[in-house]
Amino acid sequence: MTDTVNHRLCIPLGLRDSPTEQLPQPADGSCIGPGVRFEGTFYTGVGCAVHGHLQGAVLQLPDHSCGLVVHEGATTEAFVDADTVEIHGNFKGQIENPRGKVIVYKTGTLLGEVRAGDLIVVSGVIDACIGVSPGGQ
Amino acid sequence: MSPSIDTLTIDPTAMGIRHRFGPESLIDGTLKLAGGALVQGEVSGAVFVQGPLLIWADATVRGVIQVDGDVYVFGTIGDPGCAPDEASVECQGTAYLAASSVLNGRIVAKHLQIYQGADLRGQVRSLASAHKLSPHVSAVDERGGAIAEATEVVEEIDAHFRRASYPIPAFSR
Repeated sequence: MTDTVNHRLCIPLGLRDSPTEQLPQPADGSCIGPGVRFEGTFYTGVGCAVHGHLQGAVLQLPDHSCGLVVHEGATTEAFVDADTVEIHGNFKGQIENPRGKVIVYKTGTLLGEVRAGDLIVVSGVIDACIGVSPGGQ
Repeated sequence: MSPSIDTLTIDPTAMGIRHRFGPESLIDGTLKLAGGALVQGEVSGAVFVQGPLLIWADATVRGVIQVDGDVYVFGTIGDPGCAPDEASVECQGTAYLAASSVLNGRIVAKHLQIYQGADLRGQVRSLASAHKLSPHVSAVDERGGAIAEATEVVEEIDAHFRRASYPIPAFSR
């Protein structure tokens, strides 16, 4: 992949999830709609899509795999244990899943702490202490 | 959504990369570099780069690194277990953390692009507003030493690296 004439080198940066051009679809499971405020602990075995405001905790049930999607315009202040967290809106809190995947999209904001297996940032706003080890170590 | 693989095309001349610290090199001190830099060895200290910074795979940077352009991280920032203040990269542009990157300290940038596989064990921050860093003042204050003059990549250095056995891009001016 070396252009020897012009001394240029092409090297891969890595994989990044590309958001679809359509608005993100709600995850299968529960949905906190626009204008809805939820405060408390949310136990889920499938997933949750937040369009409004969620405050508290989102915990996935044992032996289940779930995803949390914070849509654009939504706010979440929570402790989250989910296999996949997609942030298109505002997230403040703690994400704790050593094997999980966190994706911050262009419109997303992440403040807090992250312990996950993978973190992908597609140019969002982020201010966090990160502990990401690919492979979930 | 379908994942895509991003690639970076390095054209040193077009990117304004004028300095290179080759593999097995060890630079420790206070540096002010006019132009971008490619780090393939180890760089420690208070470093101000007036251009893009490429941290090559197997390269390590420590200390306070302030960059007036984009940062491309394929290597390591900081030593394992170090405090964020001991290895801090501050970037006025976009910081790209590739799949092979390892972050043990702190990275602050106007925009961030982190790719799947990056090993992150520190602080990550994007600048919410046009926060202006004060590279000259902070670099001197941090280390208290004189700022070195800008270095030039000369033909002798290019030839030296071309003779090496490892595949590395050659610069031409």
